[in-house]
Amino acid sequence: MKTDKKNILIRILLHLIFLCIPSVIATAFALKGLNEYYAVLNNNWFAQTCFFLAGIFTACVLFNFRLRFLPITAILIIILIIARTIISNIELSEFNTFFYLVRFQVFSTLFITGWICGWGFSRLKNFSVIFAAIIAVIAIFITVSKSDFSFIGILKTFLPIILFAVYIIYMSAAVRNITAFSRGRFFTFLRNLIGTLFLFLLMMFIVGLLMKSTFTDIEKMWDRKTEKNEADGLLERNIIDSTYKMKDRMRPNPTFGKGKDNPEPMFVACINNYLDDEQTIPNPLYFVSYYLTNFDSFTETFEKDSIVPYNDLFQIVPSEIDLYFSKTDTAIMNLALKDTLTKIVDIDVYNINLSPKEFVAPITSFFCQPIAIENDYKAQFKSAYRAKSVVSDLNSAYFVYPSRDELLLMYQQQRYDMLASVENFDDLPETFYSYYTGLPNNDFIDSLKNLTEMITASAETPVEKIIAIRNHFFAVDEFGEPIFKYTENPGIPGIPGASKLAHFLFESHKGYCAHFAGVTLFMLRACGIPARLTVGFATIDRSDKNKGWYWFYEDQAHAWVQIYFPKFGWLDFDTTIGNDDMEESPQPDGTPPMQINKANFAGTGKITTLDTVNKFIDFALEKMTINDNEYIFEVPRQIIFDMTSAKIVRDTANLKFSELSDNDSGLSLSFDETLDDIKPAINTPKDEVFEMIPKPVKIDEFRIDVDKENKKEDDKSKVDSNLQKSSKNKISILFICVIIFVVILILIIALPYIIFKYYKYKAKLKSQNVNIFYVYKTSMFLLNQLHCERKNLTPLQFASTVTDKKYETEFEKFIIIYLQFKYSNTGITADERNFVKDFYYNFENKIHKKHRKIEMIKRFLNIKQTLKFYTNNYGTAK
Amino acid sequence: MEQQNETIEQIKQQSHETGKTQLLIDNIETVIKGKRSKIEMIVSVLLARGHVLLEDNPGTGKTLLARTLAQSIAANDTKKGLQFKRIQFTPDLLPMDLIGSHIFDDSKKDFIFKKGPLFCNVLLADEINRASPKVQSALLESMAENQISIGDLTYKLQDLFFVVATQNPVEIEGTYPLPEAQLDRFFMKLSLDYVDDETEADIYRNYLKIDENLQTVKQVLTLKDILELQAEVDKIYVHDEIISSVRNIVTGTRNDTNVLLPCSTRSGIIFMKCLKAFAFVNNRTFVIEDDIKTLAQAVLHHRIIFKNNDARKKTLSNLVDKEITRLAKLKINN
Repeated sequence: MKTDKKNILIRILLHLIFLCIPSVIATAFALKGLNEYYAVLNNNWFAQTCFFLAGIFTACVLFNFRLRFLPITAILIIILIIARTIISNIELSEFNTFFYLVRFQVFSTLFITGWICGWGFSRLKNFSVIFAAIIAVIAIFITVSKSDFSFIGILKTFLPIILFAVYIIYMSAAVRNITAFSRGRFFTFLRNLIGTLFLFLLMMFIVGLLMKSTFTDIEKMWDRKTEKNEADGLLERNIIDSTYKMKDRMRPNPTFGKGKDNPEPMFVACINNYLDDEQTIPNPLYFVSYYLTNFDSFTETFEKDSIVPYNDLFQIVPSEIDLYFSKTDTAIMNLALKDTLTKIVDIDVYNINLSPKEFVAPITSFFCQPIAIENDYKAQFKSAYRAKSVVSDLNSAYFVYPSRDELLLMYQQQRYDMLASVENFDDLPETFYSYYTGLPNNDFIDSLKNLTEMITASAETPVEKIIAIRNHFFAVDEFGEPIFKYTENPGIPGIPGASKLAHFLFESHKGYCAHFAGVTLFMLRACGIPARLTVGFATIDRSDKNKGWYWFYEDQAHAWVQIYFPKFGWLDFDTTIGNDDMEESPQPDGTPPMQINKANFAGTGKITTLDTVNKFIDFALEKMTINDNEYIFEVPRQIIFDMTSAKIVRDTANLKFSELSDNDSGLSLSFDETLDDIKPAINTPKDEVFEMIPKPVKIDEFRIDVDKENKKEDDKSKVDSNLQKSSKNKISILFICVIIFVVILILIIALPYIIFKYYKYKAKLKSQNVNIFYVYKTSMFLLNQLHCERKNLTPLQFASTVTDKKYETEFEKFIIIYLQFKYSNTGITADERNFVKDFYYNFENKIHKKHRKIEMIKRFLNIKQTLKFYTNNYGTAK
Repeated sequence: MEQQNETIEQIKQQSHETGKTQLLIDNIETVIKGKRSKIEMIVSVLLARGHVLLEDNPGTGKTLLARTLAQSIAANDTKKGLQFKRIQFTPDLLPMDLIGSHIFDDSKKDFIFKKGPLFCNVLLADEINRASPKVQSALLESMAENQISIGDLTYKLQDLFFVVATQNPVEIEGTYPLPEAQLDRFFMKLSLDYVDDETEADIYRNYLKIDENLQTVKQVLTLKDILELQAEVDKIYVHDEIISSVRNIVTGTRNDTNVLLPCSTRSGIIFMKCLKAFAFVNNRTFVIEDDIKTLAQAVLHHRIIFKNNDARKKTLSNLVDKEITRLAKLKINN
């Protein structure tokens, strides 16, 4: 009885140390990963691991005694349910109850999971197989959510998992058989490993069926056609030219203000917008990429809506417009200009890492003109464009936060005073108003409405309500600590659906821009204020030297809210709590590129005749723009250009006038001030405009087209080759891995045979000088592989009692000769040497006859037997 | 060439000599059935100039074996043969009864020494543990020194002096167990064990003949033969690795925590002697690992004092197995 108790104690200890603790560690990592994925877990992986640990340890201790699983678990579940009911009935405030309930549910789930694991480890024979498979599946989830698909990344995730799986399967078998090691343990172990693999695949299959949508994302990443690669946050990286573009979906990682060590610069912009007339106080503006106006309550997603009332989004792909030609959306311009206190602002954007296809500009942009980059800056900037926006005087990045600067505070106050004149939205068209105040219907929105009413109880005008909402996010608790915090790691990086927003608003108070913006949007709409989500870049003014120039980094990708005020239009409104780190360590702003003069005239066409004496050319004009008005001539117009001061450029090289030739087509630019006056009205016919141009036109720059089609093809092939390269790289890495794996596998499988062949070779059976030692070794190895082991017999005993009886060979005789050769001082005679030579082939033949071929191969390739051959220390085995 | 011829000569001679030992063993086997390996070991001890202790239950043939061996090499009725004496040890036996005593000779008016049974070639000391320690030590001293001292005088024993002692492990009362230090004098301690079923039946079938056979056992070797054989044994070659293994086993017992009294250096020397003799008996001119495995238990076990029963069973065999594995894997190229 006493020894029985002692045995149980030892068993419990073994289970705890060798199975439970490693499992808890593995679970801790899994939980840590899951915490990043599920916001409801609230980033509290350590406590959760403790819950799991409590469960697994209790169960492991209890179930090592003779307790029944079902009754005890039933009792446990009943206790947990009772506890839950008690908690839900305790008179606490609504949110606290909700909070504790969620906590308790997490606890009970993890405790029960740990409980089952503890039970499994102590009772079930193959539980380790299931456990390893589950951990592997969780690992896959974590990898998927991280979107880190580099080879090293995968290796980093999976190598520990594989090692853990091998360990836990082996250990559980070892702990189970700690008293009696079974003979076929290796095979059990192998079988269990294969079982894990099978289970793992099965689970992956089921999970894959259930969560198809998550995996399509990954598939997309591997799909060449999408040409996209995952990047952090709101930005999406293009794998071909490694530029970034805004993502179409709200699936942001925390990027705004994220303390990333080395954020990549996205673009540099010059905004010609100042608070005062002397142009001393620059007024930065947020850069808009697109709007999310609708909340789909079914998918719980904010989405771009194509049928927005009064759409003022200027969607354009700058790289598709020819250099110096422009696209203008007069409808948007007119729509925006209709509001009071607006002006047109020029913006220059120089792309560094932002895709040339991406267009960002402050609200409300309506014009885009790609411009050339000076040769000196070509290495730094990929592309550039000019943009024009109708900007409200009330709009400013400065108005977002309560400012410390008194001057700015004054402006801010002015803005609020002006906006206070808006008392209601009665004048707005019904469709517009109902669209931008639309809310989904669910419990969260109801509780949000209650909260909003509470917050805005004392506010009357919309702007007061807005400030009340903003102040809610800026509120501090009794210790002066802000209640809402910006976090880089609020949980699952995904679309903040209602549940996540609810968690953010009522529980965690930790989130990134999309959380703040999402909740603010709902709150505004709950107050009946029309609002929309905006995605783009936050503008931060950090440079005193270059006024009006702003640098945009990766981590400035942002989401915020725009509010519509009748008469004033859409205004930016940001409630995201800034990250303190960001203010402490501002990005160093570099030197801005030299601004290119505004081209008054730009025309494309072909040179018809060259006048080398006067440096004049006749030009067949096909398309021209004058002061941002664009005209296309179906029949090319002849025009004379004065090239005396023109810079002639081909690609990146400057040419002389003499190097020009007929039929060169190109782009001519003129910065001539005399052209400033030509400001045709919108409806002026192009012929009239053409007549208005003074001839000859003084050309300042002439860009020769490098054969366009060739170039395009070049680009295309470049892109293709890049694509192929990147996909090839991945494939080749995979391929190499597979090959290495297969080679190692083959080596391991074939190792016994290789060793056998090596010994046989060393034995030199065909030569006169037979190496008796290796003949001995070869035969022993052969016998060993066929499960005929020497064990603790001497070779001679082994030969006479085991081998010769089993195979009817002359092994004993050989061994006697071998021993004589080995131990005597006389050596062996030539006859004996000859006997040895003949012996081996007879020996092998006889053995071959005894075994069937398949059986022989099966036994021979058993690496375990080979290991035994080298490691048997029967003498020391107790 | 000459050298080779010489070695071949040697081998021929040796095979002739080993033929004699085979003859002896076969001769003993005509009486004692199914115990060839034990007989071989006893003969090895004889050729190694040692003594043997047989310990087993009554009725396993200890005395019979000793007598047959003695008769095979000695016959009382012929001058050529060796002298064989048998003493049944009892508690009241005195050393005098063993070594002899001085008695007064009337004719010479002097004390003359009357030699005891110790002055012989082969001595069967039956149930040695029943004699008093005094007698035991008298016997053991003569075994070790090969001489007897009485008073001022020292008497040399025969050149060939071979003691076969038997003891009975069952009866505890009225016995004086031999201390380990004295057991050390015996080269081997053997137990004969019961024979297998087949042989058992065979013995029953022929039990009448046993006595008859014993009476008719011929002497096959002379004293000279045996002394020659003993000289031949010394020539057996022992490879350095075998010597290392013997050393490893002996020192192994010293490093084992479960051993109270480990093997002495003398044990190792005796082990070497036995190995050589055993190799010779087995018709070999060199020692192999099988010899070690076969003899280790008989030669070394009774010299070691173990801490517990478990160690008694395992320690030595583990050491031997380890050495066997080492030797079996060893690559030796001469």
